[in-house]
Amino acid sequence: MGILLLQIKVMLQKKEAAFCYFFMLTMILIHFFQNIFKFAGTDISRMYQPLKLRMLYEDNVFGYYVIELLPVLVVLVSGFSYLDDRKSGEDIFWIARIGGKKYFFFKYAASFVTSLIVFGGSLLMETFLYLLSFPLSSVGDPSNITRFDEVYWELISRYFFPDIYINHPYLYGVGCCVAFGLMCGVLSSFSLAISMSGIFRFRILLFLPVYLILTMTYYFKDFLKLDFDTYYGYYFYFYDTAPKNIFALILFLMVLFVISFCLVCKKINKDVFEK
Amino acid sequence: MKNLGMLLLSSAFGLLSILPFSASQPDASFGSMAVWMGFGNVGLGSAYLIDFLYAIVPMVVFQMVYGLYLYRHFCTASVYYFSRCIKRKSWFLQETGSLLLKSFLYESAYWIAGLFVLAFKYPFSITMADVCLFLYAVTINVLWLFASTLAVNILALKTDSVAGFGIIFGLEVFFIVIYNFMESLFLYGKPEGNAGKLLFILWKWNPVSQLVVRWHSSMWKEIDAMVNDYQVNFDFNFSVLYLAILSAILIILGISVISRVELISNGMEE
Amino acid sequence: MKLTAEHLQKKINGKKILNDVNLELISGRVYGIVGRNGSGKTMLFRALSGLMKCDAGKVILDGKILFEDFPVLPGIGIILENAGLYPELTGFQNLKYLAGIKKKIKDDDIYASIKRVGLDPDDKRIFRKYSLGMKQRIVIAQAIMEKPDILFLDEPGNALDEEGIKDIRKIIMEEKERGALILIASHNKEDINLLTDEVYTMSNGEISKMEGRED
Repeated sequence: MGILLLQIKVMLQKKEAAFCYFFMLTMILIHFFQNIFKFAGTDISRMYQPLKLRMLYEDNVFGYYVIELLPVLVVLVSGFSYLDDRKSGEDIFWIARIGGKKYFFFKYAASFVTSLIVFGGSLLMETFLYLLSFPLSSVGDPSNITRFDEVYWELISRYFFPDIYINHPYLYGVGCCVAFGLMCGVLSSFSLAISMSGIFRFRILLFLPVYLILTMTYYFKDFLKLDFDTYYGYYFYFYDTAPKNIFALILFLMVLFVISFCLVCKKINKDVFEK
Repeated sequence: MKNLGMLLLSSAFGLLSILPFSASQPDASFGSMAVWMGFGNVGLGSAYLIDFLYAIVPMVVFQMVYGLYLYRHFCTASVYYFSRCIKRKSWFLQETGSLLLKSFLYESAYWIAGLFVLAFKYPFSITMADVCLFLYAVTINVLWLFASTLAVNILALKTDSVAGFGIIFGLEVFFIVIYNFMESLFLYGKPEGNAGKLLFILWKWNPVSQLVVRWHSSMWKEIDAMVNDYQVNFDFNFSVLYLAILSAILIILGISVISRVELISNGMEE
Repeated sequence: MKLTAEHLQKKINGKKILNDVNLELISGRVYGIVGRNGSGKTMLFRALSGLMKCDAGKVILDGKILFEDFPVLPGIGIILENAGLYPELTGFQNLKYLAGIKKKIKDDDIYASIKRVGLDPDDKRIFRKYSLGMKQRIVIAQAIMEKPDILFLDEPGNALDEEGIKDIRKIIMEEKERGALILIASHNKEDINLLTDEVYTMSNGEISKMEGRED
């Protein structure tokens, strides 16, 4: 456990993780202050539910920017950690002390946790900002559709776990942040596993697998003739009302996890110092 | 091998791009194909942002792969390479010429794949206007691709490949996201007032705007009839000149950077 | 041929790497540089060869000034500590790629230089798979293959076995006889004693001729 925490600490201290965290915070804060000025003086009866004002609610420029940069950010945050160790020769010192198996598995796990902390953590901070700054009793929806409208409930039914949203909307809001962090964690650890396979000699090319995979999600719906949307952004946005499928999401994440797990196992079974 | 792989990938992107068009259009002309493949499915406003970002994928992939084209010489055997390379400026100009050629071949593969589908599905005749429109579209795409990839290389020399690509990709997404503010630009006819004029200038001078064929205008009436969705003055020649000047500035900047790079460490990247 | 360094100065991050370095080197002689780690030996090689620009001072080769009359020293063969070749190419492919820059030599010359350092030119293994000693040998081969007029060798005996060191010493003496100007940085006292005509000491970026060293 101590080794895992040490690996996480090392990853969080790198400038790439710091950049991703501060980038997220910058987008969050600009959007937050925009909302503060926009809604200052608005009557509580006309206010929207605070957690629906967050950056990753649809139709928001900052949210778009983050979602479209996400394929690059998830790789940047911790995907290069193994390559950095290999370049500096630190991997040799780690492996000599704890063995190859522990090194690679803990690094993989640390990459997941680092991404969860950076992305999930920044969004949780955003959530608390909104909970503290906006009235909790306001229940309006930014789409301006009221609860008395059938369309409202039709759209709510498209959320993942709508019952939780209906009964515990603020718990749901926190859960969105955690889910976002978990999904980013899977992607970051996937790119780290790819880097262990040694396919790419130059760091820039490590962006390619995650970028292409996430880009191709746009086309899955047409190619596989599905009745739900597969574009990754719909699954990362909070409260998105596009028709989605939770099982497809879990399957997608499981496939990425299995591939990355196999890559890590393959690396361990090979000579650990073979590049 | 890598070059052939990239050409095949580009062709695949071209096919992916033209298939929705061929599925939805009962008939099509050479010119309408050029309009479609030249970012024809994008527009202003938030509804189109995702389409824009997907239209740019082939270019991003090229930037990732060839963003190392010059930079790779400064990694690993940089000392042994540049102790032999006496004329660094000539070397740089040669390499940028080669990069321009690769941009041209990559774009050609993309467009030819589209033509291939068109030739099979539709009986069409080609007019001079269609050919000119096609050439404008390809030229603009080639120059844009060349300039952006050269920028990645130059930035990589000052930072590293990740930061170089990250900055350029971040800027591309930023320039696309700006369109979110421009939905109302042409909603009620041509923009009026200072705010409208400013938005119009921002739209016209946005580097990504140059890629959208159907936003352009032309003095040639037959071409203008195929494009110019918003009935404004946004000539193809403006885009060609804009991107050519941008490329020239980047080449001059690159020469300056290359001359100043000191090989103090043994390699910027393994 | 005469290579002169006059008042070379270089600072990196506020630290003086080269501090008023003056040198006069002539062809057909072997010069040694000794000094502790971090004394500036490798930086001196980079400065003399033109791979790095100094803040002040000049490097003059037969009356022509580096960076004014030429951007790098012409006809130079260099090896630097820890500088490798392209990992995905074989030894022969690496040398062929580098030889293609100046186009002065043919495949036969590359073959001969690889054999000269005790390696097999037909070895299909890529550079990444070489042992440290093999890497060092192939890097020496790239330095000598074009029969350079100037040779800068930073720790040429690094990672070499006894046989390898003997081979390299033999190569250095052959190059000296050919008339090359050779500058060696080494921690190996035996190399310095056996090979060099003059020895300089570097310390904290400053250079001084070692007294009591007989030619």
